[in-house]
Amino acid sequence: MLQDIHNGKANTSLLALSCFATTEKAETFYANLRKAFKNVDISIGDSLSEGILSNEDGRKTITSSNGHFDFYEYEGCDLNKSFQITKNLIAKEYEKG
Amino acid sequence: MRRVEGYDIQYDFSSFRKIADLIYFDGPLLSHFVSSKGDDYLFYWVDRDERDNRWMVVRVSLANLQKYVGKELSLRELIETPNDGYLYFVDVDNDIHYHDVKLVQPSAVPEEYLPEADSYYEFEPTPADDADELMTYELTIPYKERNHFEEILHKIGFPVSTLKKVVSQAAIF
Repeated sequence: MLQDIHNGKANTSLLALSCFATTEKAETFYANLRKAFKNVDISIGDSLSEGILSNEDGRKTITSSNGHFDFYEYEGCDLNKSFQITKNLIAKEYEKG
Repeated sequence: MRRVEGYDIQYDFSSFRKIADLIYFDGPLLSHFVSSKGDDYLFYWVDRDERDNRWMVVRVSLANLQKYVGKELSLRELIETPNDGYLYFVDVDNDIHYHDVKLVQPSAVPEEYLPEADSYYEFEPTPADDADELMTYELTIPYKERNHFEEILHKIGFPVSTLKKVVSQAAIF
């Protein structure tokens, strides 16, 4: 991704886990991203994973109006135990040529 | 990544300054930059491989950019009508080295590199940390009057970029 490193403006968000407060908000956001970027699955993936975060797992940023927040995992946190992939978000109407 | 038909050129983007990330998810995907001349550009992410991210760079008018953010224009409409009549493509590697800059006709852009027809803005912009100074001109001169205002400046040979700096400095002091 294009970080503004040359001007000293890089941030740590790339290192966080992007999350949404609800399934509906995640799906809406992804659908809007797909309208703007047909290849977005190459960059951020194509599947929805759901689970519950606890205070022991890490720290989250403030949830924005679209439901998104960044989650910074504590060392040793293993979300594989509490999250599972529930849905493929890619519509099949568009196939790469 | 797929091959894009265009003309190889040398173009230095290092003087561009970021105004805002218009779409951001795990990193910027669509960002508004201004050149040292005061022109407005969008950096639009289109593709990646294990080494590079590919960006389409589009010079846009601020009026059209505002229409996009105001959901009056789709991203596709904005991209298909670049101010220059053509688009730039640039690959950026993991060390933020810009290379393989191409000048591309809008008609030569692969369909998978274009947004959907209904790609209206459904996101929240994130202003750059130092965008206040740069945005002062945009905030001072109303969008609806800007095109006419800048046309007059061009006719009398007054550089818009100079005016932007003057207005920004005046606002700071």
